[in-house]
Amino acid sequence: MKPHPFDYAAPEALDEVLDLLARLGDDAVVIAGGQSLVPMLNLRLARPEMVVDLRRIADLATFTITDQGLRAGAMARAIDVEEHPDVHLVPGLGDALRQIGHPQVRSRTTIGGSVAHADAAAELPALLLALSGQVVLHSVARGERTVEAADFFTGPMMTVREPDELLTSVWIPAHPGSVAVVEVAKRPGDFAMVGAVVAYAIADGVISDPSIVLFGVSGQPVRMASAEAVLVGAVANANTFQATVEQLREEFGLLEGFRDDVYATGGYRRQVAGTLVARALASMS
Amino acid sequence: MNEHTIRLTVNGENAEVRVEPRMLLSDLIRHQLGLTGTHVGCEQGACGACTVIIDGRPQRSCLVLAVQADGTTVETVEGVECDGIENAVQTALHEQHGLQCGFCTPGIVMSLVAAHRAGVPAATAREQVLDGHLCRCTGYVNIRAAVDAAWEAAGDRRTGYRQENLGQESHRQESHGQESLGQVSLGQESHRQGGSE
Amino acid sequence: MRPRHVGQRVPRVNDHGPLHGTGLYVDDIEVPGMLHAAIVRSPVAHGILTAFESESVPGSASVFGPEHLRARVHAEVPVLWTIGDQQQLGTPLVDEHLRYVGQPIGIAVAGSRYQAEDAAEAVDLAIDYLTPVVGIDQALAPDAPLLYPDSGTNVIATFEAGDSAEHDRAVFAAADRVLRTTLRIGRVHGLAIEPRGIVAVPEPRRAPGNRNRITIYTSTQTPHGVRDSVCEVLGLRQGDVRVVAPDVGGAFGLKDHIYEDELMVVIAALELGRPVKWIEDRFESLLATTHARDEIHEVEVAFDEDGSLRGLRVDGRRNVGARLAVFGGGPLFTALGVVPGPYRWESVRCGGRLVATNTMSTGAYRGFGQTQAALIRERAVDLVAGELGIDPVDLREMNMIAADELPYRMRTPIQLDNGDYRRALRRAGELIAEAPAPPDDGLARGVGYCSYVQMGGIGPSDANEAIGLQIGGFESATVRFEPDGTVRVATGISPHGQGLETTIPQLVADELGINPGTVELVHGDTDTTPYSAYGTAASRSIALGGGAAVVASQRLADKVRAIAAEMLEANPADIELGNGRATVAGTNVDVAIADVARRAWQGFRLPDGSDPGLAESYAYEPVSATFSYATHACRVAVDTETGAVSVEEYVVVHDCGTIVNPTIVEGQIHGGVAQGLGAALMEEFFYDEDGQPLSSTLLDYHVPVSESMPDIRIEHLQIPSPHTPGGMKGMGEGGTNGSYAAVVNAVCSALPDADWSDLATPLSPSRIWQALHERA
Ligand SMILES: Cc1cc2nc3c(=O)[nH]c(=O)nc-3n(C[C@@H](O)[C@H](O)[C@H](O)COP(=O)(O)OP(=O)(O)OC[C@H]3O[C@@H](n4cnc5c(N)ncnc54)[C@H](O)[C@@H]3O)c2cc1C
Ligand code: FES
Ligand code: FES
Repeated sequence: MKPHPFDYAAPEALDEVLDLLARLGDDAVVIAGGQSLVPMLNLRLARPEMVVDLRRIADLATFTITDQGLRAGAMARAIDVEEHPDVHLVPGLGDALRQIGHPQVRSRTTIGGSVAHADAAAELPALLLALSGQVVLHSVARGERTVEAADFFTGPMMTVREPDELLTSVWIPAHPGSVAVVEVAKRPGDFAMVGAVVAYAIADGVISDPSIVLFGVSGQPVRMASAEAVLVGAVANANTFQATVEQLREEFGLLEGFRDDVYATGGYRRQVAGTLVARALASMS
Repeated sequence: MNEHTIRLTVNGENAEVRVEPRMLLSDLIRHQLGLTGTHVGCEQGACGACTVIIDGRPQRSCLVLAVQADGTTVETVEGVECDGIENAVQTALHEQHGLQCGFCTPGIVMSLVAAHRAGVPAATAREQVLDGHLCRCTGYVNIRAAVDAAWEAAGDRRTGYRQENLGQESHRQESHGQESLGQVSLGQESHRQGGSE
Repeated sequence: MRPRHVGQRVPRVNDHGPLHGTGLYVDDIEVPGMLHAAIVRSPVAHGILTAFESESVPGSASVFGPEHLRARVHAEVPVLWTIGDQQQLGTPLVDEHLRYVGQPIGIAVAGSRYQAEDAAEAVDLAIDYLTPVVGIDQALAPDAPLLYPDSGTNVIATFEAGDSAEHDRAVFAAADRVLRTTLRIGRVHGLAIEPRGIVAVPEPRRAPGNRNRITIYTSTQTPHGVRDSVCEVLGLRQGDVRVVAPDVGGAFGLKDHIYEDELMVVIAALELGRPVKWIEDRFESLLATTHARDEIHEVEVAFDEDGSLRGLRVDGRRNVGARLAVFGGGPLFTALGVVPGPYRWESVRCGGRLVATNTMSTGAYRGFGQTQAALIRERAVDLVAGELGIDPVDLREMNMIAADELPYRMRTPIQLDNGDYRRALRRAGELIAEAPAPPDDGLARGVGYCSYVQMGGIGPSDANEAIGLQIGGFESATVRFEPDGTVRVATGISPHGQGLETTIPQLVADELGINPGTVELVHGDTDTTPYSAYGTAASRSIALGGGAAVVASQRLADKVRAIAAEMLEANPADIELGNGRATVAGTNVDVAIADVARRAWQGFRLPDGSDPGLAESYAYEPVSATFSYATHACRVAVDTETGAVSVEEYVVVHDCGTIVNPTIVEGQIHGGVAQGLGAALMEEFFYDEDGQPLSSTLLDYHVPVSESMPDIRIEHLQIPSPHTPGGMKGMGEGGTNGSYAAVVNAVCSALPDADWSDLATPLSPSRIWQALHERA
């Protein structure tokens, strides 16, 4: 199918983009890599009046990776970050990126687009949440605001970003310990049926900075706080991990909007989420 | 709808065309520029038949608006050179019987040519790169054989490939089949790598 | 001493186009003045269309609604197979009774595809909603809404196959034990990577009597079949309609007839007097190109303690969707016909029911029911082996028809021809046992087998008529020397990936003593090729189309010998053909065959009884279907905690008679295995309860990718068919038939403790996990 007609602008200055968004609100949609937007345009599921292309705004395409973390302009491309020699400085980042679709898709996919799109089964939003990252938004009305990942995602493809706001950059802090990004997908390259990001560090023989995020199991990536709590200050051993997974499965039962569909039952997702987390924990110790 | 004038280089030639904003690059290439070697199998980004090389990277031309290609350099199957690796890919696909109906083939040629130029090892090309293409006729078996033959013929330019990636890929290759979840193993292994930094 | 080209790995002659971008697929065709179409489709699964308003459509576009279209229709779209008590013999081109999402109800035509879609979208539809029925069980429920209220039932036809009820009861009563199982065979989509498409080019008043001629370029596997239906439905003369199949990007049974939406394109072109192109997009393709399978089988197997298989009972129900596809219930009928397979049974009794639901039609797809038959039988065999603790290869072998028992009449009652089924089984067992031992990684492993006999080359024509199939079973060829000594072979079969452009010339070249490089296949055009009701389908092409070419070539060779003998002043019986020359045996007196051809077309001093020219035509009426066979064996690794499966090792030992080109045969097997593996593990088309399709993108309908597929070890047996000229047995569908059941059996054997009493394919991770953890 072919898209419904729309107008197109590719401004060279951020302010012009923000002006367009301020003027058009919901009628405008920005295009970043287009790897989620264009399929929706093609299916006529998205029918914007105006498509605003970010490709000419050079600043948005830059990114820096240090041992502190990734600061990525919204238009930084997944493939460029993935192939950057320092990508390992942010544990989990390369793994998350490599599980997005295929190389041919990642060559356009942007960091900002993936986060703004907020697919419940997407890897990058889950990583951002697990590592307590931040999202920077700009608009004419509100100026610049920084939103914690924990506050950013609100539901299936929903975020706190207002229609007139542009996501300009993403901050993913480097975790002091190890990070695993694991998932079960139908085929390599598909969105996850069940996925988990698991992180922790070990200091003085005990676990610190634990983080467990599930994705693909409900409307948005979810942080499993009570399961994390089991890990804090515990010794990294099989008993701890088992207790964590048991707690996780309990907590899972309380999740809202829990996915149960033709591809995988809710029972399956619940059980396998636990399995993935258990494996990740074990592989990291 | 207001049309836009765009300029791009396609297979080494400069083109200046007027397009509606909604025109897909795949349609521009095929129907306005008449380069019908690029095929369209889904317009959903999933089949890979429309893959072309844009500014050196293989991309889905069905997921790029033609206006977005303004100022870019596009290579299609018609522009693949008749020597070197490009030709090695085509020759190997022919000799290994890596195509049947041929509909998926142009996209696969473009991805493989781009992968080899970038120094991607054969093992990665056989798996991750080919996974980005659906072929319903060949079961991929002979396409993989063609990857091996082409890389062999043109020389596996591994040296150009970044070291950590190389380690990652070859490790993954060994573990294929042990872990039935390629993606789980991928995540776990690289975690180990990450953790050892 | 002539070079034999048959059996050689001759490289394919038609790879250049796709590799270099010079192929010509239907969407590559541009015609001056061409318009573009988009189809208006039903958004609901069940309802009555009460209005089709095109007021909001921009004036630059033309829209044809149901009434307008109906005015051009002379007859229903035919259903070519009548089975059992089936009443539905055709379906209307347009119908205000909407029975599935995607049903075509109108067409919009404009200057570009983009504008045509805008116009189609601007059509306002008024619909009275009816309650849909989606699944087989729902459709059979006593109070189910009816798709065809006049018939009083959703059952479109019932039929039986095999033994009588009395015989069946007696065998089951006498057997030591009986096992039963339910198999749910998921709905799949054949999914050619090239969707359908058509360019209809009317040529005003080019035909005599001021009639319109129309040329139809379409992505089809059956050009003549398309022409026949166009003419029947629209009331056109067959001579006025030319159908051309350009390069076709895969078909697999989906492109075996003309669809209603394509007929609408033809109508629009005729009405507007302009060329009209319509290319199906993937969304439409998933909704409205025939699906396949969607069956439930209740299977019972009777056997003795010593492992002897005695009786097989199958009650099969097939969801045929909203209307019968062109071959109606043929796939279920065929499944039940071949279900006995390569084993001896004392009784086989089958019942089939075709059930209408508010979903897309299910029709032909590679295997045409034989894939399901293999699963039914091979699951039953494995259940018995498991129950008795007998090795599945041993149990198969002890019940398998031995080479010297062939020919053998199955109880359904199809006559098998020749071969050595046990050898294929044993060898496959050996090969899979030789596979490298799996690592100790905690995954569950299992080996699965599937032995099958594949009926191909369907015919003879009288047998088709006897089973209610309204098309003949023969194939024809015309082999013609040109005056320069090159040869053209016109055939009714219509290759689209099978490599027949390479293999038919190999066959012809050997008969004529020339190089295959000088032989060209002419195909895919009703104006230049002999009639074929099938085109390329049903594992027929090399066996029957190739068979026809072989006999025509043999006759042509006789003629070459006669003329050469005249030229060389020798006896025709002493002339040998080879290396492009006709030679008097035992001498070096010879003449180039090209010179013979030139002389034949000059008509100079031809031998008595020889007409001028050098061409022969032959219509090959088969004496029987052909039966290739194989055993597939594979090893899978299952992650019992996630249900994920990987197929690690795969072997095929098969016999398809004479192998014209091993490379091409292997390629067919590879592709077939991938399709069966997909159906076993990941492919399923879903509807929700309202009949809305859920699998409307290629991210929701999962076909195998490279990493899903193992490498495949293939061994060929070659026992030529006793029937076909050249000895070929068709094989295009076999790979699919073997892999589906072999993979399912392997997963079941890896997880013996899971509950497989009600087995549904695909065996997705979630289903496997449920069988292991929720049901067991
Ligand atoms: C075959 C295929 C497989 C895929 N598999 C995966 C997968 O496994 N995992 C995964 O995570 N993704 C997957 N994706 C989707 C991923 O590749 C998308 O690219 C990504 O989700 C969106 O990034 P983008 O840059 O392409 O954004 P776009 O498609 O351009 O935009 C997506 C949405 O975000 C909005 N948006 C984008 N940038 C901004 C911004 N800076 N500010 C405000 N709003 C913005 C757009 O308006 C739009 O609504 C797949 C895609 C394809 C085609
Ligand atoms: S047509 Fe672009 S990916 Fe299928
Ligand atoms: S060769 Fe037909 S789809 Fe790949």
